[in-house]
Amino acid sequence: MRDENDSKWNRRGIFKASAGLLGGTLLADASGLARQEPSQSNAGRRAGNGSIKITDLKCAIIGRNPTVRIVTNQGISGYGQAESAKSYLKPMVLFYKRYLIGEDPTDVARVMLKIRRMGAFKPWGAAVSAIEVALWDIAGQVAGVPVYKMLGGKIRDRVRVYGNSINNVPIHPRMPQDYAEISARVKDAKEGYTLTKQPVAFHHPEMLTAVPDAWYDEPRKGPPHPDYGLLTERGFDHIVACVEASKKVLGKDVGLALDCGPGWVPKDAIRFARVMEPLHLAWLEDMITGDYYPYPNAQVFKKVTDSTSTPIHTGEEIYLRENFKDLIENQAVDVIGPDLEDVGGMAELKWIAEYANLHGILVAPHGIFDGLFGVAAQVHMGAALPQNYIAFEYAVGQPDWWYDIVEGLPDPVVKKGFIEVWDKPGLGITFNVRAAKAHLRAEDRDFFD
Amino acid sequence: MQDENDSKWNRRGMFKASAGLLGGTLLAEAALSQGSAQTRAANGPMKITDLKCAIIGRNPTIRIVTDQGISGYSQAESAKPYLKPMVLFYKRYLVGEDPRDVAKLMLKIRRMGASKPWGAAVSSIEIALWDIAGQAAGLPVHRLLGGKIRDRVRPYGNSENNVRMRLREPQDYAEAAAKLKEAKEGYTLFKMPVGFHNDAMMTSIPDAWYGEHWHGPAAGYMDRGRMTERGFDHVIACVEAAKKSLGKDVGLALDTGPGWTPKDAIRFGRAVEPFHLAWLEDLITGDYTPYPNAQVFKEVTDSTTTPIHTGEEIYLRENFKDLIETQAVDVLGPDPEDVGGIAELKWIAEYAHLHGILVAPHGIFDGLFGVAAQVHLGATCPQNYIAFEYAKGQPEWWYDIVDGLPDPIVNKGFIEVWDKPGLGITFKVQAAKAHLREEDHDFFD
Repeated sequence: MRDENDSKWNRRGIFKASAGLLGGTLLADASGLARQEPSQSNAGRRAGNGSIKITDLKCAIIGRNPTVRIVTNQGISGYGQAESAKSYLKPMVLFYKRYLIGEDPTDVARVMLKIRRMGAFKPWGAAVSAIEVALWDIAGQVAGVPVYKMLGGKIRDRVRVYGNSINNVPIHPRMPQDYAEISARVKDAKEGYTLTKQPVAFHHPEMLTAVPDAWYDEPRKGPPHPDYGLLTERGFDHIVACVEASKKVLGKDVGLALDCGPGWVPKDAIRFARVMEPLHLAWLEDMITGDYYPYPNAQVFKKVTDSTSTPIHTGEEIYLRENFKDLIENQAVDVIGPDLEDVGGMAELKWIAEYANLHGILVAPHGIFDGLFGVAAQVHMGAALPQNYIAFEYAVGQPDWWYDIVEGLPDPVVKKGFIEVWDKPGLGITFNVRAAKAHLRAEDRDFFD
Repeated sequence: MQDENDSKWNRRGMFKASAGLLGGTLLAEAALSQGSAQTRAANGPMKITDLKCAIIGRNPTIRIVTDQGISGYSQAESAKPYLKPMVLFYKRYLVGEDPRDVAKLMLKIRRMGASKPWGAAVSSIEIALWDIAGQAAGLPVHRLLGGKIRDRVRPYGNSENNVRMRLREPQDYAEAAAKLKEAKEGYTLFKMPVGFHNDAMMTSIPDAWYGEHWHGPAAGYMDRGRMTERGFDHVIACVEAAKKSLGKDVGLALDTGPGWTPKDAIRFGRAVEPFHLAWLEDLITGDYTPYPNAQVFKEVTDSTTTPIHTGEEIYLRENFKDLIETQAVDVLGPDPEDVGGIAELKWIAEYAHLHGILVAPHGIFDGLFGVAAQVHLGATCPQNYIAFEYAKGQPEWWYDIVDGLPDPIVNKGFIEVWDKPGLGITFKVQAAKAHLREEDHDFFD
């Protein structure tokens, strides 16, 4: 299906063609075969020996999650999702369509080799990442095996999740008593989390602005986490008081991690990590660089990490293994938290986890907004990660009706803090198409056709 | 005009709102003529009322509209005609802000970009902000960037947009070099594509490297691997032919990759030492590689007297840290339309200078507003500045719709710096309107 003119490729040519695509001119689906989503049961065996080709790449914003569908000429579709925080992502997904059409989706590595260079740090690696997950979904269905077997096989039968209070408690904590309350609620959550994460300091402006003059700069507006600066003693003490309140409620039964930044100056970060040492936290996340910082600052992280026994964590915004090189090879942090929907996919994250393990670094993948297909991908990947794996950040279906349109997840999904790994081919979850169609936006109405 | 809901900001809320924006809901805007509003606006309040993007010819073109009758213009590479939704993504961060507080606005949006092509929108917005700030102050942009240290700026010519021929064999390189030498611009420095940067050359002989040649839409700069001796010798023969034709009067730089293995890069750097090349570009990482590989570059750079160059795809100063602080390359080539803008590039040039590293900004597809931005920037870059890569108006009618460029633009290899306020060039709106696409028809309204 390759356009032979493409061999005369140059920088101008390639983009000239992709312009039309983004303008809305989608290539015709020549096959006409993939119109009806088949029951997934034995499509795998049927397609096992024939030649399978990608005939279409679609994207719909369902609820708030950009949802990717890769359609093939063999009646098999693969699904992936991007964070619900990126509901603007559709044109960025379709940008990659012309690189995929005609390719064999089961050659995941080859397809990824083509497109991985065309992504970047969060949010600009999300489309490539979601495509990777959808490719694995197809590859697994075609082979008739669960995705974790294509990632090297599982080393655990249940995968630990951690709960982010942002997802689990509808409270924006400002004062110590708020932190005590969200901790009590998280402890009682039906998921039975063994580990929870809470937002503090520059990661959570409501907390820092709850006391006057918490730091030496103006509160700023704009994209996520705009604040930065030296904390006043008052501000610093307020953060410590809030964390102490949480810890008192959680006790030693449930682990506590803190999402802290970015925005801390190095010495405040060091002071804070040392003060936290008696609380035995799971980690301090993103103190220096982090969410929506298009660069990791390994040198500064290393200084903080080397100064304390409290584990230091970062990485949710980082794209591709190459951009983890400094952090990992300098042991600049203790825990990394790539998001499989931003880092370049599940195989990419697994490679990074192995690389981290080589350097004594732990892995706790980010994923709060990853959607239900994200949860499924995290389970397959988490099952196959090395022993440096801690837990992944659990995403809930948003809105709630997501649970009615997806089939194949265990019920309940999380039991006593863990998810049992399932064995259905591919990701092993799929859409209840009839139910899902009712939630498609007008412009996405042909998503399942 | 700051949305007060922003103070209740969270990751979900923010993006929810921007979704509607990408859906195409543009705020209505009062059309104001561009007359001589500049001085009027110098001291009073000024607010951004709209951010627009039109694909004119192939260049994404940005217009930031204010409530004071001043608009700022800029462009992104013609290689990125898909950029419109990415530009409009930033609209809600800009509307209601004072465009003259360039640093404050950039602080807001710079984190929301990334390596090429995902930093292009932020970069172009930065340039349009400077255009407004200059007009409002009645000063050319170069005075807002620190003042000029040179009155003329050196461009270099890329054979890709000066000579319309495919370079496969040594005789092609000799011919292209001869034509370049005759170019009306009188360039003093040229760049030509070789090695993995030019697949026509690499596939003109069989088995030039130990790897498969990639085809298809994503194939650009996909080829890589160890070169065979035959392949290596072919590259050298082509460079030799070009050099022979150019002589010592005109400098020669080579765009070479990415895709070389470190030892091939070292062998090549050493083999071309007698040619006294200006630089070898992107041997290891480069165009559309979303990470620079400083460690490997350093190994190559330390092994040869031939200058090693990279950086066109890199976004923001922070991502140059390793390259610069470990002196991993000799020359940096950020593109103002990808790196985060002209003030960002100037800062990086100063930072490079601190470490003995030169600067030769990339810009082959930057369009005529890009040329203007490069002239203002180049006038203020420190003495480690070599030249910027000259862009042409594509298609030719671009020269008929822009006012304010010198004629000819390049004279004996240099561009004279002009002193008109802002970028000092603007659209001939009537003429430009004729080239607007249907969906962009209200761009100048």
